[in-house]
Amino acid sequence: MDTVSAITTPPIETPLFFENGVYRLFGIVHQPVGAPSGAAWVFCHPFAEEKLLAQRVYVSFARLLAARGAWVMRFDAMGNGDSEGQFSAASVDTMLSDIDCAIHYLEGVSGISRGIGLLGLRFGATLAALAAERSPKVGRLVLWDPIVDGGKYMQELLRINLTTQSVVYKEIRHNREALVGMMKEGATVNIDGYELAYPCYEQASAINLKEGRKRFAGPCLIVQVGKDGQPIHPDLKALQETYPGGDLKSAVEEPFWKEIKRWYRAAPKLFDTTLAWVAAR
Amino acid sequence: MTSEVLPVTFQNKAGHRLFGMIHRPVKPCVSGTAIILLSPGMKMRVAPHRLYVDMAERFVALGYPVLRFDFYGMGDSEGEAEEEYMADIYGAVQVGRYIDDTIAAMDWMQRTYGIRKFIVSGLCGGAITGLLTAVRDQRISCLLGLGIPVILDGTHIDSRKYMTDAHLRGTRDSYVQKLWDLEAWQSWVRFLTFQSDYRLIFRSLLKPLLVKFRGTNSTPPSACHSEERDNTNPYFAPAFFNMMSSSRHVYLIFSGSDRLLWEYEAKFVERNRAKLESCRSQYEIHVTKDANHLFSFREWEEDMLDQCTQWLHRLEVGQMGTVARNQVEACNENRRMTA
Repeated sequence: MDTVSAITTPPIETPLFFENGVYRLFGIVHQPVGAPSGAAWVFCHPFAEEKLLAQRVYVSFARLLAARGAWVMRFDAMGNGDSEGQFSAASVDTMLSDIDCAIHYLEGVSGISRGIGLLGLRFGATLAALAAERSPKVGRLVLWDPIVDGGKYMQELLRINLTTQSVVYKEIRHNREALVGMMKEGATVNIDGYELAYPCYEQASAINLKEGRKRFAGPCLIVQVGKDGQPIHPDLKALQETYPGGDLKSAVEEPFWKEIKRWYRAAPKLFDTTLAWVAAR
Repeated sequence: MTSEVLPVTFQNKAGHRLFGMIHRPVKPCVSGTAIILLSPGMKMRVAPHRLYVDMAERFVALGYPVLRFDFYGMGDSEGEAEEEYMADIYGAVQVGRYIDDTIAAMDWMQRTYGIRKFIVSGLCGGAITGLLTAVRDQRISCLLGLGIPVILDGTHIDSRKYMTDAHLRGTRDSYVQKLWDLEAWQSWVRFLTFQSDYRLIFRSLLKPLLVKFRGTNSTPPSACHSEERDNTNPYFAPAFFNMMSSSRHVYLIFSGSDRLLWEYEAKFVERNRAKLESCRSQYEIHVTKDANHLFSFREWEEDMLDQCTQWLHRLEVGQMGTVARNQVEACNENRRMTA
């Protein structure tokens, strides 16, 4: 936690709305503290409640980067946080469009038009990786514990619904197949209070980051967040191989995107690993 | 469009910049009251599954300006919460850590919009913060609390020792259910790899047997009634009755499947039944059937929002009645003076 405590100059942070077509997105722009380094970062948040649980870690890391002279843009995708729209209306397509829009906004306020960094955690990292494939403005990529297999992740989310059913009704009234069927027919499935709709489920399920060589040729850091001595997951190794400039590291941290006993206002080892990588590039 | 939403920042007493969102109605309500949504624990101003966004939209449509903001060290706000464990943060919130931030929010609303009367609302930690702030600040006219905790958390408190019978029963049912649930294989993994809370498992499973063999509850009656010897928040009851004694209103909504409801009943209502009877007209309780702590299923959230709306409507009608009565009295007074 020392790295966070070491920031003494108050950063300049501006909360604002910016438009993506018909809806407004909420974001916070962190201005560089002191001399600008020329770096600019857009943070892509994780999915549903994981976003909320990782919020303070994102805030702390944005402040650290700003203290090192970078512009940072944190924003809420449509239907998330303070942004307009319903969560059920969001899909992978809308989330990627929102990232493009945030990059464009940051470009406007910072004057930095190329080499913008994207940073994401979990599904936010997955989206960052997909966004980097289509935007020539992205120059650096940091993927914290990315979801490589979207299908598997969606099944984990459905499991949350099954658990809630089991606790509340003492039985499973709708199994996985039924839940997917309901979504196909236009209903939503409740995941910890978030209404998941079929377009999002379908698009996310189709994601497999291991497939094919990536177009993005810039530096890419993949960090596995896990226990001490935990072997690197084969999916992450496979993902690294798809990037021409991919680095794979691990950081010993607890899964701060889940409900855990420890209060995670910062993730010091993850921060150090990332900052060291950023400084070397 | 019924409202405009703007990001705002203001400073607290310690000089930390707090971030929030104000929802301003196009047509404000007659009473001139604003609602402040106080953050629940670490889950900032949007609350779990954006509950506060939904609440703000519902309330602003009724004509109430609504402010939701992050306490220091949480969400986007400045400052740091230095605790290592969540339980200690909850404990600090339950004894009033964020009272000053709530007062700072009211000061800012008063300075910026001239509002002098507030309904404080929130889930869990937000609700207890509102209740404790009401003791210090008479601008708070009402509390609208969701799942308000009556106990204290902390790493130094073994909450298992003070679980209510209903909570133990719920825990036991959940463990028994996992025995047959194939989807609960992860629970079995945790159990077999020594990661489970074995004390809790055995306590919840063995308590009915102990009661059966001993013929009575295993907890001595004195322990049940001694506030010092359990985890009841000593500030809760005085704060609640402070609001009652100053003729302010309280509306509490609980989730039917939430331990906080069982704790409220066992550790507050049971111990204060006679006193509560005397102020029955000033507070109301609603329980959303089956709901979990977060009102996560849509029907639970809708029930809660509908109840809030109806209560606010009753309140507004009552206050309009008071305003009308005051106007008539003032009119009569003028007539007398003129005569």
